[in-house]
Amino acid sequence: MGTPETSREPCPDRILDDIGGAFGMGAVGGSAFHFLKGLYNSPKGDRFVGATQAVRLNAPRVGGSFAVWGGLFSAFDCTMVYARQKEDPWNSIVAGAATGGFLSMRQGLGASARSAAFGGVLLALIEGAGIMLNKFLSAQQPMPMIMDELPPQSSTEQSWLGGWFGGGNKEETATTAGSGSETKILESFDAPPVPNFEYK
Amino acid sequence: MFRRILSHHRTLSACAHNATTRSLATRRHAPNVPPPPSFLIPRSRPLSSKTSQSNEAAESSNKAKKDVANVEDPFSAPTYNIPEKPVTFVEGASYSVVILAGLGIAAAAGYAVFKELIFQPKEYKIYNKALKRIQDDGQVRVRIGFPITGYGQESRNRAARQRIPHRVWTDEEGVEHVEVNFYIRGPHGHGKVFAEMFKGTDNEWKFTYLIVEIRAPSTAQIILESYIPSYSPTK
Repeated sequence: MGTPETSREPCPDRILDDIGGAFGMGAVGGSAFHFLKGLYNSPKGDRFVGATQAVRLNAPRVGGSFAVWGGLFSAFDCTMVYARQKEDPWNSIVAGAATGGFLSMRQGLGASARSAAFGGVLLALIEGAGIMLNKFLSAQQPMPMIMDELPPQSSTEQSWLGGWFGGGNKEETATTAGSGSETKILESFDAPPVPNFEYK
Repeated sequence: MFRRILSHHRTLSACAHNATTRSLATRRHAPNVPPPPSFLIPRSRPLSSKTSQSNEAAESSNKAKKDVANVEDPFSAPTYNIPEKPVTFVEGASYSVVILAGLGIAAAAGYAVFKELIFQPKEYKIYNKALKRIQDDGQVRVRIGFPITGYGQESRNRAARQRIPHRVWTDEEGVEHVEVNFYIRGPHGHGKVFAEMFKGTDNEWKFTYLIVEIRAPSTAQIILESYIPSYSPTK
């Protein structure tokens, strides 16, 4: 427990970070939204004054509500990480549902259940979009991944492949070199280390 | 009128400074019926005529308002607001087509989300199996303690920690391989895990290798799984 690297565990310090980040998002977003709304609703000649007054009235309130939501979400997420001892998108989905349900508990169990379902669906959409985006970005390079696996093959298989494609060796080496540099730059995947069979 | 008469009296008194004018004023005020001067008569008559004209105008405006109100009554009935031309069948059908298209788009989005989450992606399946295998192993527990937490990347960002670096490839025999690496952390130390699984002939995932590289409190490398194919001397 005394090692300094243990302090890199994000929870529970992440809760405070998320409260600040959520307040910032809410305040900036609320300022922009209410500035435009004030411009639209103010009479001609007083638009700028009306817009600044609307921002001054509403931006702190929007920031506050975002901070409450973000803080609760982060707290529930850290609770899920601790309970499951695993980090995957299900933690965020359950935390979103718990946050929605908790904030609506004052209005009764029916409204609380409805808000929990809505929060869960919202976080599921967000996580699903993130996973699909990640898959789409990684799917842009199918060939370098396949070519990466040829060098680790055994030498006999390589010679067998060389025998079948006599003139293909140069192409393979060229593509492996290029793909190697590409994968090193673009991907964060590390190849498994060479195992040393020392006595445990 | 009285104010104008008084103003005239004041002007007369201001113009002349004689006692005779003062005596004349007192004489006029003393009796209740003053003799009307010849120059005041035409001014009073147009005032009275003006008042009579205003009364007549008010009466005429009242009559006009009543006429307008009477005229507006038939057109305020709701039966007159029905449009002449009803919506055609083609227009209604196109609206329903638009509604069905919107519902189709929503269903496609929902299916895509569920396909990615409810039916879990391959990298999370491999990650779950590998993490469970590691959490139940005694060699890893002895070194970094229990409970053991697993996460995708070393970062404070939630999305980065939940993302598992993975690689999916198919070998020459058509078998699908999924390769993942993630981090583990316990109360006494931390490490990195390299795991690969392939889908066997019985359609179940099996480990090709599972290497745990413990980096703290002391460096060690543990091979928990290593696939050895069945050996047949005839081949």
